[in-house]
Amino acid sequence: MTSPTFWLTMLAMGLITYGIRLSMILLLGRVALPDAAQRALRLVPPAVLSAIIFPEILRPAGAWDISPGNPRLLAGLIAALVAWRTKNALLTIGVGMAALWALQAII
Amino acid sequence: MRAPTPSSEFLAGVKAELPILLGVAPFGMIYGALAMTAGLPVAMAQAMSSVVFAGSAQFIAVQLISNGAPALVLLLTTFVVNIRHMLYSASVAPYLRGLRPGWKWLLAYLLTDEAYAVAILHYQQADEAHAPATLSPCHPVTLSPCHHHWYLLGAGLALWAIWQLCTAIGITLGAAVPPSWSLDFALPLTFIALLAPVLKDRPAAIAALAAGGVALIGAGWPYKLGLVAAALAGIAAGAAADQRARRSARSPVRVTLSGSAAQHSPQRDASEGSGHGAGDASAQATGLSMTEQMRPLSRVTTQHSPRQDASEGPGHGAGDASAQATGLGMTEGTRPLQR
Repeated sequence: MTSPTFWLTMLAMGLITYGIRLSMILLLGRVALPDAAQRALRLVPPAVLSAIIFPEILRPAGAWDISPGNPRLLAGLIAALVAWRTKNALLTIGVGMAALWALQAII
Repeated sequence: MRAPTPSSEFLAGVKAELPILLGVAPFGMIYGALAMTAGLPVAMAQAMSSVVFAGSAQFIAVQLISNGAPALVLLLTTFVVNIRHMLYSASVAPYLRGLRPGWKWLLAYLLTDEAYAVAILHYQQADEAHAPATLSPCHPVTLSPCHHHWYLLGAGLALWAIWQLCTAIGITLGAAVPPSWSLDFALPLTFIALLAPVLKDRPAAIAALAAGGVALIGAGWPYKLGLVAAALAGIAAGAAADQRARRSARSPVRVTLSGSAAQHSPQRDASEGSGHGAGDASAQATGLSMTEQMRPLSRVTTQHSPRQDASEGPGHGAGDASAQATGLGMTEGTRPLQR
């Protein structure tokens, strides 16, 4: 790919991304969604966040690793516990990273 | 409660986003370093962080470019990888309805996973804080200014700034970012931190489990299709659970003996289908005929319908219904809902 093609491609990527983000904000901005759809949208955050988290922890890079020998799994579980208990994002990330480093040193 | 002002909301958004920035920062740096390894020109690597402004898409794009992928593949991949943002867009759209176009265009640009997650939680909490029977001055139906969009702006701008900065740092440090530090783990940790407060009720938990399961199955699929499938599966499963809970709240079948009323109240904020509990409690407490019994419940439900763009959870409506229907210590039931 030549340099101008690179830049044009990147611009197109940006427009696609932006278009996706803007799409529903514009489309649904004038229309009142039916109740059922509204209620379904409330489930977007737990669904998408889980969809991102589960593979990262349990199947890093595509390979299943549910063994206790997976430091990320244990660190992730510890972090999940902290998140659930404290609802504190800073603590969750801090404890999670610390747990990972500690486990990597041990395992 | 003090009325929110634009600046208080903006600062609150930034503040809420700060811990998230901690998780995103390493990711940005790794992207910058990766872009250099892949041979991207510095200007392009940096520009992508503002032109595209989507972490996972940027990562995948860099790898595709270094593998010599044609432009069409890049575009298709970008589209599929980022399609989940359409869900964010749809989910946040009702809250942005009264805003001028300029706001919508700007906020859409800033709608990343992390900014969205923090903001949607804020919007939902704002919904729950308003008692349904009263129209507070800050209300989605009247479109009175709540300034919550400033919160999203704050969170979004904070993330944008960190992303540009960390991209630059990553580009500068290049290979000097040690992979042995496992800094990439900070991002899934961030998402774990974002997920916890969102698991408020049973439909949400079911949505999360279903999505997680499908995501695990589809983890190997190309173009992150597994993620999209998982998100849709999770939404479907959660919506089904939500429907079931609502239907049993309205069904005139349940008559249980006394004692269960007390049992249900403390469980209100636990992941029970709250509508379910209200149906039980009000059935016992008044001893009216079932149809009369359920009428207050359905009246409240229809009251809520025009306000569904406030996206109230099922538990909220049911809690009020039981308070009306029984007048007993059912107000205890509503307390957990009002934070």
